[in-house]
Amino acid sequence: MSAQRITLAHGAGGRLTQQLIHEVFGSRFRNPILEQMNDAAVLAPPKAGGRLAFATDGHVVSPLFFPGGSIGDLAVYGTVNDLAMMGARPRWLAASFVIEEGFPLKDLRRIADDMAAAAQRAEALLVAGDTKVVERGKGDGVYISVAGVGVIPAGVEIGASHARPGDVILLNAPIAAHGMTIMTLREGLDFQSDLRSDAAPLNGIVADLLAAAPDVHTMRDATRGGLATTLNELAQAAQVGIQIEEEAIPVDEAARSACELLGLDPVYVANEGAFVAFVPPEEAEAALTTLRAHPLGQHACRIGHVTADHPGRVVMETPLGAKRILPPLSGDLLPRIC
Amino acid sequence: MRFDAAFRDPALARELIAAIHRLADDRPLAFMEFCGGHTHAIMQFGIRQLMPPNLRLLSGPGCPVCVTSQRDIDQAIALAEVPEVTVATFGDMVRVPGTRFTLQEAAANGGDVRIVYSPLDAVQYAHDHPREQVVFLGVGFETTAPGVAASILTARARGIRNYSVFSMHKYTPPGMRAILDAGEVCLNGVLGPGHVSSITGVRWWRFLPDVYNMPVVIAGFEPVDILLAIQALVRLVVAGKAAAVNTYRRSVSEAGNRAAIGIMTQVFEPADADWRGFGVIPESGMAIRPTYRAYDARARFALSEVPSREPPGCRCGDVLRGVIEPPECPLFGQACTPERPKGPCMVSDEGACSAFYLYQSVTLEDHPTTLSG
Amino acid sequence: MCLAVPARVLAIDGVLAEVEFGSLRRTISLQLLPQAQVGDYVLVHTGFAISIIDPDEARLTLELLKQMGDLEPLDSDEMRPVRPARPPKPPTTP
Repeated sequence: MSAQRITLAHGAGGRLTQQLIHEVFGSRFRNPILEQMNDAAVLAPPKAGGRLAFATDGHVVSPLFFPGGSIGDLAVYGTVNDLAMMGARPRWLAASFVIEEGFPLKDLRRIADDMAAAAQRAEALLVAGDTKVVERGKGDGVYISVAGVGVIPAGVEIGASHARPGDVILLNAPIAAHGMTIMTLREGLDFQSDLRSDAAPLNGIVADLLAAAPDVHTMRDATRGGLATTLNELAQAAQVGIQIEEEAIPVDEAARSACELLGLDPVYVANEGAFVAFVPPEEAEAALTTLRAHPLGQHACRIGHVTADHPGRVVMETPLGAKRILPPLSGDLLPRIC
Repeated sequence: MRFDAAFRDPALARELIAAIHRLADDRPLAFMEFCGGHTHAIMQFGIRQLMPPNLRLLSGPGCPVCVTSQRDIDQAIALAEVPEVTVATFGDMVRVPGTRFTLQEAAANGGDVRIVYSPLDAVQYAHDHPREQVVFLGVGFETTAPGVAASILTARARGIRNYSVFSMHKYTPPGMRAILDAGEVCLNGVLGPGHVSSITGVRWWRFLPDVYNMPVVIAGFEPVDILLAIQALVRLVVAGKAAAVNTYRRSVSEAGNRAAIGIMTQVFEPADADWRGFGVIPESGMAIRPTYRAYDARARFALSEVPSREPPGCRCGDVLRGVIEPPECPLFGQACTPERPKGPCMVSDEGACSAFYLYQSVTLEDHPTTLSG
Repeated sequence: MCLAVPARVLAIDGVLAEVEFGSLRRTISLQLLPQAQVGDYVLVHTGFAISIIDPDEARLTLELLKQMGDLEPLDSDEMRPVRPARPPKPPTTP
């Protein structure tokens, strides 16, 4: 294709649309299912006892490309990780693109490259897709929605409602890196730093975890709203209390400096490669050892426990030994100055 | 040297807490932390709950966004709705409810609002977008005003004509005096603002011992800083002495930052200002001097005259004067939360209400803390 | 009072300075602190250096605290007696 930018014609469904799909997507997501180019992907059902997990995630991020990843990575990992948090092995993904007229093709190709690489890392196949083009001014560059199907092996039962008082709460990685990477790139807040998004597929580390600690009760990745919001969601859903120690929560130096500079609390900053697992105490040590053996869990640690006290609430102990209630994030995470 | 880490040492903090307990005995003590940043830090670290029950910490009016009058808020928001105007602002202002809506909502409705880290970023933006009228919302006390003044001087030096400042800046001593003159709260001492005094110097706070016979201790913002200052206040009260003590010596001097004071004074002059909760306090606001009228948004734009109304039932004013604590406001946590705030005290991270809401302590009866001594 | 964060001055170019907060670097203005030098620690607020942080004072404070927190001398040459304060309101019950 000689065009440099997406035009409305690319979304019309005719020859240009076909060319776009083949050249940008088809060439990168090679697999037998996609190559059928049918209206729908036909999938094989799971083995006996297995169940399906199904998730979807939409992505709008600015800037599109940032240290540690891009919207392409987030689009794939977002859905892959949702599936992984249920103990599912991600298998098939469908991606829907809404592209603004005028969007540079070279950026679209780069996003597709990232998605292909991300899908490969997650060992998932992109088997269906759709593209639409909207008029200039009616879209923010590109919106990507990814839906995904995963398979939960027989015997695996993970969910918020399974959390039990006494469960040990493990966190696999330092927090706040992704959100601060994005925020410091925003215009008017530009800092040079070593900040990198932690965007990563978590299905591999989760598979390892479940092999070593099969009775993991609950898992969730700490995306929008950060660790604090995620823990609150779980406490509410399971109607259990959660107690964590502020000092135990790992934050890398660059992210911590960025948070201090902008007056933000790391526990509210979004992550794309960090998750919590609620593990029965007898499996906690094995779980921690296993997490630490994986590249995405080298800094895994225990941050707290589940309790029967104060159901629905998260209580955090400060380094001084005082305890305070940690509420979920309200509104936007805005840098405070004064 | 990592200053923050050293002044956060939990072992030192615990020693200071124990010392405060010993010194305070069961003498009733009430100290006001003037600065919203101190309230925030005190709540975040859980310092209140670690103090002896006879020692009360009261939050003061040192939250610049909170003490901004409803009229100023409304006029700032109305500026964002003017077609060629782009409002540049610190993040905190964006969610404060005006009479009609917030700045954030005005942006959603099509107004132009940009959050910036520095007023110099707004000046640069004005330079890069010559067809837009950039209005910077000047909110803040003496820590912030010199930088805003410098931004005006920079704009002038670079010949940038599409930049102006809507000044809502205020001086801190008049606010403190207004609290004491009102006689509504009984105080034994004041925890003085650490970063304001890094600009003004301890000098600007000597009126407390000199005129009001009130001890003041200038404090930094790490846990050890705050506890050291509280300990010093207790010692002063026990000794029966009124003095201005500086425990933030690494950043604050007697005379302050003369260059910054000079620039602030060059661009701003005292004017009467309306403080939420206080009404007009004479000579407490910073108005842009006539020489710099070209950079004064109040002179450049016709400001909205739509009547301003504070939210019904909102008791931000009483909170700011230290008369009530946030949970005593009937709206607190019910009709007024960070998601749906009624007044600025719940929005601003310097506000007492948001600090109380975000950092609710778990009471001693429910969960005894590990305090020794 | 407002958010001011310590940083170290890495380089100076006229009125601008490159500073580092931990590993984050940004260009800020020295308009309010023209006497700052490379290697100094400064407080930074809204893109301006507002005060030099004196490491000796920091160390001194910490040393005094570590020795005997209780006996750290009060620093003021203008102590004067106060009239006894009116009894404050009793603390509100939690």
